[in-house]
Amino acid sequence: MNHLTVLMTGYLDRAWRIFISPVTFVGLSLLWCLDLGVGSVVAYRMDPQFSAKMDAYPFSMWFREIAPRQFPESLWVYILVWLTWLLVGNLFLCTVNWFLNRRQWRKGLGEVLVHLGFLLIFTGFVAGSVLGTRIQGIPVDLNGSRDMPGSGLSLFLHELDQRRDPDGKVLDTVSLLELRSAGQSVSRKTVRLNHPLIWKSAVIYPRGAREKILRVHLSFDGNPVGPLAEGEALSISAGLNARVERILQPGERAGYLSGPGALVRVSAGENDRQMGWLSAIPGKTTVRFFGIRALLTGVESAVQGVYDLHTDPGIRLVLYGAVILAIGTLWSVGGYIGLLRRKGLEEFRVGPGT
Amino acid sequence: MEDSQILLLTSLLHVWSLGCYASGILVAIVLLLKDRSELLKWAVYPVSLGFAGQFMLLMVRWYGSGHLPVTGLFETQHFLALWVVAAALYFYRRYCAWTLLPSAVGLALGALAFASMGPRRLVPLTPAIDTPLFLLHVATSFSAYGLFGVGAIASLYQIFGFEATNTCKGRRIIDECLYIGYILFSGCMIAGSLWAYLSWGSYWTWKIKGLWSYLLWFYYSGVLHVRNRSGWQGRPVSLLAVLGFVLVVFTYLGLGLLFETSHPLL
Repeated sequence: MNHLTVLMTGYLDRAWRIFISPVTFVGLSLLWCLDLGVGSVVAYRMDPQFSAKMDAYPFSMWFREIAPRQFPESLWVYILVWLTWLLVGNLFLCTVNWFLNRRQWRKGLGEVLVHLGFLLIFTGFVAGSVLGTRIQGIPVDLNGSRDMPGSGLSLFLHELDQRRDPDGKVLDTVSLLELRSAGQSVSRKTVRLNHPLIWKSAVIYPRGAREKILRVHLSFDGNPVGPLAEGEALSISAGLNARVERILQPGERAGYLSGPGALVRVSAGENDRQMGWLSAIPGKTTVRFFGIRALLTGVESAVQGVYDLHTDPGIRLVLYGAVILAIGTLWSVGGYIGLLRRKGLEEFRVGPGT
Repeated sequence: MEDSQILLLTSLLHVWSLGCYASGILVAIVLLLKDRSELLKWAVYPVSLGFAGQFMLLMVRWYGSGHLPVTGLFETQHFLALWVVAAALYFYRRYCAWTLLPSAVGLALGALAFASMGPRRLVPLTPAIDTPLFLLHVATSFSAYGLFGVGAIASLYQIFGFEATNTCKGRRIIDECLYIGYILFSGCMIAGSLWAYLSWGSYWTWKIKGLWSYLLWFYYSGVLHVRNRSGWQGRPVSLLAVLGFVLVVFTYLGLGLLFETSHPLL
């Protein structure tokens, strides 16, 4: 029994030494780099959009829902996750070991702060990845509000302005936004690129602006009709009624139809009706209803701001981690410069010819 | 000062720096081949003049554009070369790294030749990059690249059995380059991640350039952990430093040329 205890203690001691060894960290980080490097290049070669698809979801959701369907192409991500956990475990045990032994308080503090910073960042990443949400492309009408799905928040757009270069290309969209929670205003800010609206763990990013088609102008055999909103109908001649069934916004799709445009139904009686797609893109073909040539001649639109909503409950941990990491780094630099100065410039000076 | 004057001055100082560095390298090689290292200060003079010219070039562009000149291929390569030459001159003064000087300045010369391919006109910052975080991110990354480059050159000297200094301090040069380079690169990653969070909504992105930047950070983290351990010193660390710079070049150039990245070269 005593022999067994000694044997077990020996094994545990050896395992502990391996777990806390910097060489273990180096071996793991080399494997991590190899997997990430090769995996990312191969993934990009197979699908240049892979990063956009992964970035569209919190990582844990992508990992749970999409990665299994993309196996074996996603194998490198599985390996990366395991190696990351092993690296973090090694980092954690090294840090625990440092505290247990309390080596070189002043000299080693920078190093241990950097480790703690990394651990906090990783914990924050895991929290954000598991509990976070991402909703992209939420349109909000100017002077209108929109409930942000699943968050209990609503967004009110007060002002919208687009900044353009001399060629007219949009450089930035500036919006005055107000965030409301349970009907109460909780934040109001002018947002633009690099200046999102941040409230607790929710961040609202501007993603530009778009025109929203409200009404369409039609023409039947050269006679103007409208403007008509979605669901509205008008008589176009004796016994014939035109109704706008659906308006598709720019970029919006419904089946094989692609916006901008309007799906129009013309009826000649109870059971005699024809449906046709009128595109808002100039030059597109006209449609004939009961022999009448129909055309979409114009649209009336309003501007909308488009926003992304990200919630990341781990972001505070990440920020604290980054601050601690930065402090640890600066502490280490101070120590290193002190070391260099103590060695003295003259000590190493050897003049020409000596 | 008008834009045309700044452009003219930029071109003059660019050619001046190229000429000074090229002549400095030539003088150094000739003196080293003739075993007249006591006259190497005659190589340091033109290199220092080239460095002063480059420094002035960046100041002029800073004055003209109103922001730290680290945007576009031309400016970033100048910034990289400036750090490489600054490190080479510092090591020359501190450790008498005479033999290192021509190789390091050669690296700077290569960066300047590459810079010649980039447009030189002053372009105002677009809103996406009009943030101090961007300037900090780029400045620290290229200064780190410069130090990693000098460290790799000193490592190559060690691998092939040459001494980079007259004081047998080649290992210290590698150590300083790796350590200070890593610190600067950490600054680059922190600033870049914070900028990405404020701009794109995530401090971690699966974009290939971002992934390879994290790869570099982890790689050099590993190197730093073993650089002073027995069994790893000497040739193993030198090989790791050279491999690290190969990764740097691939991350900067290879990805930019082979893939459509979020960090275009031009």
